[in-house]
Amino acid sequence: MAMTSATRGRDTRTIRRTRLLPLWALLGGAFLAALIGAFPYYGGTDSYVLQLVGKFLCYAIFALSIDLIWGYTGILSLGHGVFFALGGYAFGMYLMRMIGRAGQYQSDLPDFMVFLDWKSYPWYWSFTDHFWYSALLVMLAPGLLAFVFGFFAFRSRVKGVYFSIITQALTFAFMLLFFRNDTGFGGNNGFTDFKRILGFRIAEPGTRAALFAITGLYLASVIVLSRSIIRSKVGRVLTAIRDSESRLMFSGYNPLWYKLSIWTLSAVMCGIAGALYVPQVGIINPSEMSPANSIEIAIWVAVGGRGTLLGPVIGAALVNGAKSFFTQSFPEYWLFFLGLLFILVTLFLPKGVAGIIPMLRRAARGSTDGKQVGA
Amino acid sequence: MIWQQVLLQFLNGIGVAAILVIAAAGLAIIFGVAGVINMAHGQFIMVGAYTAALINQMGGDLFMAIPVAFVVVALLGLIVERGVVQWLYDRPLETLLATWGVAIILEVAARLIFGPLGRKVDWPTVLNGSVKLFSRPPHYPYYRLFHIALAIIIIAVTFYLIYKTTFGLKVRAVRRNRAMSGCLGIDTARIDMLIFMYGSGLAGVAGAVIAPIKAATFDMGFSYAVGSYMVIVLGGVGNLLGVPTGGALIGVGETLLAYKYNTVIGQLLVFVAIVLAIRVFPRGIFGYHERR
Repeated sequence: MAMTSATRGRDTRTIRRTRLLPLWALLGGAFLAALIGAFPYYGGTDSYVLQLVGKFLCYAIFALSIDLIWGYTGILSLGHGVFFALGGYAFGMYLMRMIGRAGQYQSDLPDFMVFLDWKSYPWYWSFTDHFWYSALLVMLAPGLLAFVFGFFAFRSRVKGVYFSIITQALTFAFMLLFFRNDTGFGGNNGFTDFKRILGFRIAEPGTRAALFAITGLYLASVIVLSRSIIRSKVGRVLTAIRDSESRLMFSGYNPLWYKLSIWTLSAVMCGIAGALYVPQVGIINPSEMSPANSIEIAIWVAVGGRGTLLGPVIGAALVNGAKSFFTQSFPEYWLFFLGLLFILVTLFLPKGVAGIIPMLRRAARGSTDGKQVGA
Repeated sequence: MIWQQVLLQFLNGIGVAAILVIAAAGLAIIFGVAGVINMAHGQFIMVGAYTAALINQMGGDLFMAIPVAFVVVALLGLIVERGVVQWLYDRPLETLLATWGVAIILEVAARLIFGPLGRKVDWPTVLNGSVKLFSRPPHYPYYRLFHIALAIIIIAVTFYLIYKTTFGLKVRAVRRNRAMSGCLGIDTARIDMLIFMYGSGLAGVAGAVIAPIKAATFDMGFSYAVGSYMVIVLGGVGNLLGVPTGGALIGVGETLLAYKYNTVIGQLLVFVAIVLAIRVFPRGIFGYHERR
């Protein structure tokens, strides 16, 4: 609603073009990142940086998937980490099988199973040695969980803070489950020590560069996809759910399937990001599911500016930059800073960094008409 | 005898439920009246536990620590409400994030001040010992009875406060129709503030009586907070019966399932059951429909 009143009376075509600018800038950036990543030269000399940036890219996708449901649909998930981690674990299973007999115990089974004295793979590990099946599982596992959970919650019209605290309990429950050794996912230590992916050695600079490039391309395509969803009629309905769900229902829409679709899509998106994260970082363990982890990513979105596509990416970069700075210079104050960030951003910067620019522009124009627009 | 074991587990479950009720009561009353969830609730419990630990260190016993913890954490609640939450009542989702910030800061501060190791709190000598239900151990410890009694007292006091006092009348009015209450001259912001203080104080009491079971640690809060959320989601905040009902179902359910399988499976099954229960009771068993 706010958007139409803002654009009214101006030439919509120029507006569309200016709106496209940041997107193209970002897309260009992602492609550039992909190109840079594709140079094994970088992977060879500075694989640490490559790994770090690759990790950030995955986190940026994680943040985008939260933005899609929180910023645009008004559903705050405090448990998205579970989808990220499920995607990661699903792909991790494949990577574990690819270790083959190169593990410490030279067994066909992963080391942690040998340690538990298991004789064969449990049923849910079957077929995970096939790449395509694992890739499918990366989408299916988070997707199914999100669908079933979302169906129960949205069908009962559970929303607002109620929904948020249930999602937090969801990821907490899964974290406890995955921490157990007999769940069959490596317990505390999770999966690590990967050797090969599709026959390529993971430590090889070329493999790293390729993974990095794929992540960059994936981020770009996630942005394009999100953008086209938001620009579509469905996207309109989603923002309407955020702004006034009951009014939307009075207008004859059933929000259930809209919410459920975007929720599931967001979970799958996040799961794939998790799958790309695991081979690059080289480890997945249950702490990825910790509620603190998920809620921290929500604050990235808030910092960057929710309800914008650039916001989550900016937020992820800013907060992670601050994190690297603090953990190197004042490690003991990082969490203090993070806590303050949570409080200050929600109190003083509800639209995030992305909201600063329109705010300044409005101030510069010195007009009052902007005030009605900002809701 | 297997039935003796099951009976004992059931009674243990009631004890666990009592702890859940004590921990969730404050959260539920804040959510019920002001419509916000305090994500720092678990850390408030932790502050209550450390208060009890300090009192214990200074030679006081638990019965002295309970009122002190109530006051200390209520004041903490006052600070948080005035400083953070009062600006966010119309943005409940963001309250979650802001109070999580408070939670992080409290936790880091506790680790800096008290160190990573736990602080032990002793039971008063009166509560050492157990009821000999059967000829052989395990017996039923007194402290569980104490928890149950305290849970009942807290619910009774809250009931009295909400249903039998003028203050409670105003609280119920604000909850039913905030705008109209404001028009009739009730200072709704003050009601929110006082309720937030009262709810926080209850978190302090919870911390004080939980501390002797497991010791006060800086990271003890979160699991109790999650337990409290589940109590609220299952029980609902429509009236005061929601918390004891939710607490009893979860506490007994988890304990019995933990006895049959293991703790994690117990928690997980209870969680699944709660998600299923949402279909039948979307706003909890004792939920009510808001009119906003």
